[in-house]
Amino acid sequence: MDDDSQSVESSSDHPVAAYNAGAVGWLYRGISLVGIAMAVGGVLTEVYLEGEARNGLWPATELFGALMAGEPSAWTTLGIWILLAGPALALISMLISGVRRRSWPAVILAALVLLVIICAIPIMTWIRGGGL
Amino acid sequence: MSVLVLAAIALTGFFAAGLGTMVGMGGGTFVVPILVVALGIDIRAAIAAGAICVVLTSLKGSCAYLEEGMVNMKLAMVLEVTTIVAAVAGAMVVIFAPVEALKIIFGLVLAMTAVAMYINPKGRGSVKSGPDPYGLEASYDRPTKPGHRVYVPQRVRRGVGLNSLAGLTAGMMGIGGGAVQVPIMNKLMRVPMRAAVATSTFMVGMTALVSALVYTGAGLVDVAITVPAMAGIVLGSQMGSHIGTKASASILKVVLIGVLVVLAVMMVADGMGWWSVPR
Repeated sequence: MDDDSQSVESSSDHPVAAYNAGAVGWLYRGISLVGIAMAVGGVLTEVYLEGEARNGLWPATELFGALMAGEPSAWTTLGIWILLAGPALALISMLISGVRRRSWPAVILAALVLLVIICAIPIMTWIRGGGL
Repeated sequence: MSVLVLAAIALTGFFAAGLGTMVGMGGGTFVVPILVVALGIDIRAAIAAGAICVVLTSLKGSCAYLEEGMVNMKLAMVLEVTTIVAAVAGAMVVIFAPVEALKIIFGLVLAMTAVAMYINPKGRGSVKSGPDPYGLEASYDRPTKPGHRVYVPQRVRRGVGLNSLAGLTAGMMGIGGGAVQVPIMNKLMRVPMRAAVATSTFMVGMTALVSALVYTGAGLVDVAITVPAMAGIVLGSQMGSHIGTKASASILKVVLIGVLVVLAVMMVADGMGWWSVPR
């Protein structure tokens, strides 16, 4: 990282301002803290109570019930899902920011990436055997 | 999974992230092979755990870069379109390819990373002005001097194509792909190193997310492997960045190349059936 010697002075704003980077940064900070705390807390509680940790994630259909029942492993699953939601939420935030600034190329790019992520969900269901 | 195994996985994450962070590679490159060759964990479960760990490290690592305006978000989106599609393809390979083939591929990629690190071709510096057909010009505040550093990414189409290779590697190996992305951005597209690292750190989270979704669908995510590894990585990366600033860069490079070569040989030997990890 020693290439700052070729910098130029400029008083202009950052040219790439279509996405609200600061907001995404704060979003990432919050999500990573909450997600890791829930995941690690869930595993530690489970090990403390039961002596070992459950291997798999809770299925989405049973997760709410398990959370209500106070299952520590359900909190772990929720923590992991919160972490995984981070990049998708960032894309949604970038989409909204792009629409507000009427920066349509930026909107299209963020929408395309989000679309591929959404398409990964049917692939996930298909692999599970649920069919497309 | 017993407490002892959980602790061993956390320690693996700690040392792998410490080692990776010392040389700016992140922990993913080392976590997966060490879990496989040292603890005898199934390579598919290790790859799935690696992908989720990458999402976490990307979220944590990107915060400061995003707030400082170091990430070229538009460039990230342009590159991410092909990277993310390739990552889905890579994740499908993990599900359907034989375990032995995965180990051999992983070993070969580690060996290539070691070779690239040894050769380390020099970049040509960034371009401050000129044609910018895709509107990707960006700037960031220089950390050490006043003013902005302005740059215009070059050879965008070639960069987009080559970044799909980073996506494929990331999807197949459960790593971030930064080891491929940063040289492409810095040496081919002439993005300044700081901006390339920041943009790549932001991108790898999205790339790893799609892979992680596919692995989740295949039931490969093992919480008892993933969460201790995540905890170890968080602590290890703190230690790595602390030691990395004090240790000699040339010694670190030699150690890292040595570790990569050893891991590569062990992964290939395991895949070929010449040597097996005690399970």
